[in-house]
Amino acid sequence: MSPTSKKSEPRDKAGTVAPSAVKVKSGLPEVQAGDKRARYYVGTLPSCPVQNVTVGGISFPRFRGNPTFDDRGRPDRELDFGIFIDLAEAEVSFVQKAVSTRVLRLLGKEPEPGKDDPERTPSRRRAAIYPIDGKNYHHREGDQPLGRFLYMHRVDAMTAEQMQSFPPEAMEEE
Amino acid sequence: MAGPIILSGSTLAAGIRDDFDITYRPTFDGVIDSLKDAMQIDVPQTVRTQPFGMHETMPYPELWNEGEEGIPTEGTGSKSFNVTAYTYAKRVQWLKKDREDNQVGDLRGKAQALGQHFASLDSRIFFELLTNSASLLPAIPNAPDGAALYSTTDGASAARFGVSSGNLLTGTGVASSATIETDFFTAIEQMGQFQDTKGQPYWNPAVDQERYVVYFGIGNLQKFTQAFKGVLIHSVQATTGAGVSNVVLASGVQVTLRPTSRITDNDWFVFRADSALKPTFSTLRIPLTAAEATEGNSDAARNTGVEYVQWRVRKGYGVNVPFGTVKVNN
Repeated sequence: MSPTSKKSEPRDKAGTVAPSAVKVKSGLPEVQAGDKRARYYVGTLPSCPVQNVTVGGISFPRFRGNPTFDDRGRPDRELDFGIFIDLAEAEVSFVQKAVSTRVLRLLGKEPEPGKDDPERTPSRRRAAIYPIDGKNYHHREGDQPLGRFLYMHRVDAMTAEQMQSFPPEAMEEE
Repeated sequence: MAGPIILSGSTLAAGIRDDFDITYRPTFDGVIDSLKDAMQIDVPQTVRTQPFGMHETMPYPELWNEGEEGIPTEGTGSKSFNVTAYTYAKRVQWLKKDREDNQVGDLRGKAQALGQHFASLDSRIFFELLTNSASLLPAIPNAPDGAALYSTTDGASAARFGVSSGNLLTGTGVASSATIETDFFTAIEQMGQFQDTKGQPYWNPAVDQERYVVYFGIGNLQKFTQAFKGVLIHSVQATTGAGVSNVVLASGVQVTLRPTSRITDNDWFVFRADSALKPTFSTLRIPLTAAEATEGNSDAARNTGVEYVQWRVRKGYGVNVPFGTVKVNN
């Protein structure tokens, strides 16, 4: 019997391992077999009161991996922010359009100053995301474009400096 | 004694009646029951930060030409993650003289209702896990695969569960019951194609796949009720004018609807109710306990005339590998 270490790689003789992704109807635009995909770095900025946002069929997470947090929100290890995802051009356009039609509304009261470290931990401020064309949405003062809180960068267009620095620029154009 | 107290001024007048005293008392009957298909409640936790571990899928048999050297051999991986228990607590205090003069029920007994409100904790945090708004947790935990509860990819940027969009589905909106019905079947078809870590279908067809729970914003109640409970969905065929039958009802798939005001947008969530694996869980480190301060046991109460009751529980919350749920993102 082969060893079962944490990283043991099963052999692929029968071709049953290393699952290849099944394509499902996702609501995302159709991507043809020849369409090239590029790798994107996506996530929510520390200023985003919603830790993980799903919009346009993809997830914008605050961090990846499995850190734990103490009562004050301090993680037990360095956080790996955001996630990498391969997207075709049509999917990128779809996501961008979806983000541009969402707003974020802050709920509840302001957090106490100094209670959270915005660079390291998610804000405890509650918020809701609304599609501006949704039947339950009525504009309120203070609603902010969702793109202000998300980032989405094509990895091969990022400089080494950009790769090293955090947080990256928001999706919203100035 | 510092801190706010129960203001009893409106309940002290002689002859006042308490017929409407239940007005501000929400009920929590059935709260835990309503979560049981989506959250495993009170998994025992024995230390502050509890490690949990799991093996990935064990290998499947292969064809072996016996006599050839080397029986097919294969290993597998494992995953571990930690859950930290947090303390949830609250105190309510009142003036002793207010308790003595109170005309509306028993003030001390009323304060004990705070304990009942702890029944809402699992429910409130469950919806924080769904909506990613962390007010009762320092951060929303990721699943053991390193990605958020709903994600197209896992933490290593591979298609989650071997499906191109993971457990996230871009819906077609909630404007009509027909789109909801279509998205529901797309969601369960997507879930049905999830693969284990050896590339085999995760869901065994022998398992009953006929029961689902759907959580959605109560603002969309009418359309969801039409989509899942209506004999005819609210659309007609353009050519004949005939009503279109409800495929959910016709198929025999059982769907329990859980509308909630805690979901404020058009996203909705499908959970497999028959799965032993629940996508979310709570742990229990220290059960709920109460402490009461009165003149009989507290210097502070004797010094100030302020009495109180406080409750405390220590619990943790986490996300398991979410094979059993798909989010419809609108």
